[in-house]
Amino acid sequence: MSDNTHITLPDQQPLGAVTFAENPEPRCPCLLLLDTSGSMAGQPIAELNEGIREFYNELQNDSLAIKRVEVALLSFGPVRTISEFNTAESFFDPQLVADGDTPMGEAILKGIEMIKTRKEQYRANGISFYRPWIFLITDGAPTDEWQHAAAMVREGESAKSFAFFAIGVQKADMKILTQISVRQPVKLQGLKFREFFQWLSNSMKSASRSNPGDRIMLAPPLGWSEI
Amino acid sequence: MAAVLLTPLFDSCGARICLGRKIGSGGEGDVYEILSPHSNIVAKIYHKPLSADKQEKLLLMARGCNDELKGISAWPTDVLHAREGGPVIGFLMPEIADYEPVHKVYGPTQRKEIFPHADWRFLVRTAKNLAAAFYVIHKFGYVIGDVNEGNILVNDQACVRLIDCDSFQVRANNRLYYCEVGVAQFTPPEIQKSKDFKMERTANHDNFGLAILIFQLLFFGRHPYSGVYTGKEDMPIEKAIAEFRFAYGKNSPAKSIAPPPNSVGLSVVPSQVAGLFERAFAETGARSAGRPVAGDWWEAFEFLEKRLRRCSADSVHSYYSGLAACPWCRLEESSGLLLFLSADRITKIDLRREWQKVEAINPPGPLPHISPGTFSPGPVPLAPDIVRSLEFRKIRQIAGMAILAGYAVIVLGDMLTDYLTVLPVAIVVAALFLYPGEAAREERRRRTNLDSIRYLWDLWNKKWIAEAGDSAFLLQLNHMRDLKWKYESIERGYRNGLLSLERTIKDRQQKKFLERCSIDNCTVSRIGVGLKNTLKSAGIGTAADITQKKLHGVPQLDNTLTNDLLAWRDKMESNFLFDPTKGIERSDIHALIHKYQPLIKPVERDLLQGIPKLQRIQEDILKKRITLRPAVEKRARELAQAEANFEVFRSTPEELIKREIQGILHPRRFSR
Ligand SMILES: Nc1ncnc2c1ncn2[C@@H]1O[C@H](COP(=O)(O)OP(=O)(O)O)[C@@H](O)[C@H]1O
Repeated sequence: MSDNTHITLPDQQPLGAVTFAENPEPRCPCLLLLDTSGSMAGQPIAELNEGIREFYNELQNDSLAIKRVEVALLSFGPVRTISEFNTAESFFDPQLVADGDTPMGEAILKGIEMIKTRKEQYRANGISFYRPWIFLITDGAPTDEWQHAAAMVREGESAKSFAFFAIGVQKADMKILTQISVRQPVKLQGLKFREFFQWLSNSMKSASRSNPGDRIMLAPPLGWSEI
Repeated sequence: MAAVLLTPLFDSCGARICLGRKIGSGGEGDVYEILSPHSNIVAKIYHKPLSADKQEKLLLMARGCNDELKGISAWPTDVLHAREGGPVIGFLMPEIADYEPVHKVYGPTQRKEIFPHADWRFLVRTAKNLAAAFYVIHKFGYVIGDVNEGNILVNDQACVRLIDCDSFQVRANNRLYYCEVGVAQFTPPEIQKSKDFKMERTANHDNFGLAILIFQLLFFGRHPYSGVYTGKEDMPIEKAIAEFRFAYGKNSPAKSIAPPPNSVGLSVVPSQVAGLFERAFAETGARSAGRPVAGDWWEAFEFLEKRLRRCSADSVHSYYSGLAACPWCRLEESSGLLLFLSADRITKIDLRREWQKVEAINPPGPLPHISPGTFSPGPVPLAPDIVRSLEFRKIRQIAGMAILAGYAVIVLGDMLTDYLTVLPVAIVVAALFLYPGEAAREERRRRTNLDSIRYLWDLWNKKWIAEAGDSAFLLQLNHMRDLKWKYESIERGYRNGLLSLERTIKDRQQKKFLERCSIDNCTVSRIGVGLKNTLKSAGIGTAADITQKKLHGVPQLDNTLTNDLLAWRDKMESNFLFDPTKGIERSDIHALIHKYQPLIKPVERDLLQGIPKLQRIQEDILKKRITLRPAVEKRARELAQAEANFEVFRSTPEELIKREIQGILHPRRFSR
């Protein structure tokens, strides 16, 4: 920024490192891959936005989760980083808009890359972390090449680099989701995004407290899934 | 739960206990207030019926209750039954009010919010009190078992209380009642791998958790096993613990782990304390009774507390005096962290940190350039009849010009004989030029098209500039800079106020001292009770009031009495001893705070609200740049097209001919 030069700051410090020193708690990263393709327009996207707002709200009201859970948001259709990994303290309203196609493969690859980068920052700053969770939420089928992404998911799962969960909404192609996700994909009941995010925040809160280590401790997906 | 609230419960003697408001809720049960006459007592009621074992354990704990245990924990004081002689459904315990979980104290961000006055001395005292609490529990043969960051509470006086006592391990009557829970971060290596906690826990296990918490308290929330690990694989805390990878220890290089950047290590504490940490986290600690016990820590902190020094550069920095320089100054400078707030700060925000947030919002930058000029479409080809009409027009125009030229030659050559010829020639020329023809209609059509498209373009371009341009962002950013400047100048004013208080500290201490020397205590013989009362009614009550000028206003005083009083005052003054350690009086600081806080509060609020607003504006602009772009570009392209279409008519015949030739040479430029 060119006209920024006339203000003088005491001394420039990279934001990340200071944040880690101010809050050295171990981190539970959680990445949400959100489908914002045209078919999500209208009520689905409104409910999704509302669900995310409440998700942050829940995390903010928990004095440990607010320090330990880091959420990143990535939307696809087109692929955009809505929020980098951050604790819920610095939440901003995503206001997702639905337009575009469903480049799911690209989104998954970008997401995996984001996780890799964040892990490197944790390592460099001596911050312990737990296995990241990735949640893919979609109401359609990929419109791009997804086979490579699926292979990367399998690889990451077997190396325990992350745990990948797929949530299908409405007319989502559950068959392809089964091919992408090693874990059984789950179908969302109607548009129960709020119930889903309530469940997710509870899971994140207990994970941030009782350190699952290698195990993934998720409550059964009750109240929002079609099982 | 409503049922529980309504029906009274019974304690072990059969006395009725009525529950009041619910004040807390946990995984196993809820905690309620007790209606009077019991004060400072609360009840925990379990969600589910208890096993016989657990009921027995609670009964034993209540029987074992004593003042020492009650003084440091929410120890069960009695059990509760739903009906007399029925099963135990809960228990009574002392209320622990106005305490905060220890993780909010060791984490710098939350500590600065909840205990803004806490300095390192406070953290050392908390660690010492924590050791004292563990000492008491172990002294009576209990084991905490589930040591964690949530069930140890701290108040603003650095006092420590343990809650969740019903999970402690109890040994009685040759039986062991297990603590069946635990949190990995505080679980020692030797039992890290066990699947559950159905096992005997020892004080040595507790002492691992104690050492972890003390480490976190002294070192700003850093976990001793979180460091920069050089191995390839992920290293979660529990794995690091199981493998004894203490990041700050003498042995850490051999364990491939180093302290994180922006942290301080064992060098800032006395070697005695450092030694305790080494013992607690090394392999030898895992042997029976291998770790320092609570008493060891207590002693080490007794020693440290006597050797704390205030930093001369920043009075909120308290540090171990065995060091050559203040470690907090160095850490703050190298890391950009603000470790401590002074209790006397007028705001709780850390401007530097907030401003970093502002800086982190990337400006959207200048508006991407979209203009019709960037497109160069060829004109829509004219229909053959219009081309013919246009060519005919060209011929007409050339003919008209030829006639005009010929006529001009005649005029100039003075060869004109009859001026009446002007009229028919003019009519002919005008007809040649103005005859409407097919081409003129097409020209009109293309012009109106151009006008309406230009109008549309203007609208969209304005919208593009207004909504996707960065002026709203720059405006808000400038507003933020103004606020920052205002904030800083108010804070500077406050700091200067503090400084001048500091400079006059001695005078004011002396004045306060003299104010405490009442003239009632004046023993000069000539000054009796009557005179003292006269003086008091003249507003002279203490030595501080005695000045030449004030005494002058009292008519009863002659010179000797005046001198006596002045001499008494001087004598009192000579008794005054300046105490440099006392610092500025709190009441003086409060007066300053009262003056500056109302000034800075609104600025602080605007600053905090301005950051998300700036972020929103930036996102809005970036979003608009994506969503508006196609529409704006479409208008620009359309305008370029309409202009090109009209251009055909605007040009002179010569240019048209040139273009035609170019069209033949570079057909692609004009083909559509
Ligand atoms: N003695 C007490 N005084 C005041 N509040 C208490 C007391 N004990 C517990 N609480 C509150 O109740 C909550 C739940 O208590 P806890 O014993 O941790 O339940 P659980 O073991 O079932 O999780 C605590 O977080 C705390 O807020």
